[in-house]
Amino acid sequence: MDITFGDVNGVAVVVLPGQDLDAANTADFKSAVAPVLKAHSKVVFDLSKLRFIDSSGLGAFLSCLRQLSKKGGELKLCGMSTQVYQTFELVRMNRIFDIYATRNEAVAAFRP
Amino acid sequence: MLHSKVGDAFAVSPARSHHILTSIPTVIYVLGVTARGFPSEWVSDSVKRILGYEVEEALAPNWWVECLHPDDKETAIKRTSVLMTAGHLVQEYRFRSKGGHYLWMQDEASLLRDSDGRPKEIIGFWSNITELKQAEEQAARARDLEVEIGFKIQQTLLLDQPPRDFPGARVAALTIPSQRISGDFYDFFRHAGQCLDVIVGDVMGKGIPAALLGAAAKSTFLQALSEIISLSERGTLPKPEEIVTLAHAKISRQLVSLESFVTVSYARFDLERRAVALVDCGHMPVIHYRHRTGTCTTLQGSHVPLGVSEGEIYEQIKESFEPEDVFVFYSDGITEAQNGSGEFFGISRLAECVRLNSRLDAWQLITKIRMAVVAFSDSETFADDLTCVVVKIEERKLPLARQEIEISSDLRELARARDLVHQFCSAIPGAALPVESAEELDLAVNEALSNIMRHAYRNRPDQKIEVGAEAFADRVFVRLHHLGEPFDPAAAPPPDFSGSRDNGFGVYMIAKLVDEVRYLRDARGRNCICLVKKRKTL
Repeated sequence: MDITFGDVNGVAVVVLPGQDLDAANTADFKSAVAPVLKAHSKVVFDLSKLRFIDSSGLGAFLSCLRQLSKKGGELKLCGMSTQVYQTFELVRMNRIFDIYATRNEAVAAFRP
Repeated sequence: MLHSKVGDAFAVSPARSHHILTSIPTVIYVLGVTARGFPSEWVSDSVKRILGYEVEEALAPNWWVECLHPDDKETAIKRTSVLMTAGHLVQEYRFRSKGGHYLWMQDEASLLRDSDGRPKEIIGFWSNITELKQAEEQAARARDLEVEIGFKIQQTLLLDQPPRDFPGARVAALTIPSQRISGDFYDFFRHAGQCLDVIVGDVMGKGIPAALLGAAAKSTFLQALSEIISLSERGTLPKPEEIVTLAHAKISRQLVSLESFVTVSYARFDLERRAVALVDCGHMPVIHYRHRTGTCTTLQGSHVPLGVSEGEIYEQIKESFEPEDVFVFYSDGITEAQNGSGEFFGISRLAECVRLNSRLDAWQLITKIRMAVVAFSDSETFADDLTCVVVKIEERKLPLARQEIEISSDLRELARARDLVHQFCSAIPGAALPVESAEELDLAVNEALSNIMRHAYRNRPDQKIEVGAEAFADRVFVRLHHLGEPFDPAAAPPPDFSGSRDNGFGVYMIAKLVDEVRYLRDARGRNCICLVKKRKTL
């Protein structure tokens, strides 16, 4: 999986490339995003292309969140479709993640 | 008086009485009766041979109390008071011999009174009943073992689970085993073309022989069925009367030589033709509740049980049925359950119970029957096995749409399966499922498939999974059939919502996303996860 990311005011913004994040590609996603998580401590995942996420996908996000928290970093999510948000709500992950409507809001939410 | 006679014997021939008193298999003793207790006054020499003690030791105060087994001591001492009131006492207890091991003794004592009626002395006889006790214990252990073996035979060989997903009929079965196993059995054969055979049988007699005979009879039916099928033209299903006649020919000689017989109801439900064919081999009449009239009738043939008449040619009787009709098969254990005044539960009470509860599901109905029998006999335990099978005919609705695909157990197939479900839901003729419901069903299917691939098939990507979808006006079914390990949803740990675990959400999500999840074994022995999504009513 090719992950593209841009640096916006010291925040790494990762745009998830595919429509689906399920058990078939979570391992790929985790290894592709690992270098970003290693190099940065302020990270935003832009999910605006994502149409479907399953429990494995949620698990991958949780794993990313824990990696960043461990080194004092933060992860914020943005651009979720209704369907994806409902999956987060189903297992109450909306209470675990910082979720913003747009990329700008997510970036601005980091303390300078 | 006995005592004086013993004394006379001493006087007449001391040598002979000594010989008698040392060689009898009993210890005789005499106790005095005083205000402070019963001091030992005399004990026969046989105490040495039977218990190993010298007469002097046996006469010592407290000797008896000290030798009693700790578990029996309190009761044995307490019961001696009965002697003063009743004048006679027989009791059994464990008693320590000189060698240190305990013997079971029977102690029979009588109070003798003088001419004024005052208690004078106690004469007692002690016998060693250890061997008798051991034999009794062995017999009790053997009985327990028989019950246990019988129960295992029953659960593994005699009783099959009724099919849970037979289209057009709901089937439920119940057995309450009695203290001694009997040979009640039932079996179910599913055939293509919406036919279901229900076989309910009862072997004469009880115990392991009956249970084994039941198992043999049951397998004979399956043998007979497969033999005729293999000999007949492809696609023709042998009739129940042919199967029973062949099964009988196979087993009747053995039954006759064992002087046993088996009553059987062999019924075939043809859901397409809405007719039942019954071969009744001396079994209890089948109760048929007709939904249209709201009444019960019985269905009964005229044949004798298997093993009674060797050349018997069995014939079937036919009856039609309609949706919501109920059929009840049962053993005589149900109708012959007795209440306190010796009355039988009987067929009419059973039929009335069926009529009153006919609107219930097959499983609920069978529970009502059990409760009725238990309430009637005021007991949870019965002299005979209680066996009951309920078949409830359902309104067979044709699905509005159905579709099946086979996928491999490769996680990359998840997306294809989701697409299928999604498109299926949006294309149900005249009744597309709302997008939100379709998305929920999608996610549930995804989670269930992902579990099958990763756990049931342990990440082997080359196995097969059949995905079938069926839509009715009020609900959509998705069935996932696989040959991997069966999945026990109850064993899944509860989800952790704290964010500290990456996995363990699947089962919880599935349960939340659909209206019903069933984990079952399908007709071809595959494991099946059935997801049901109901159409939301406004």
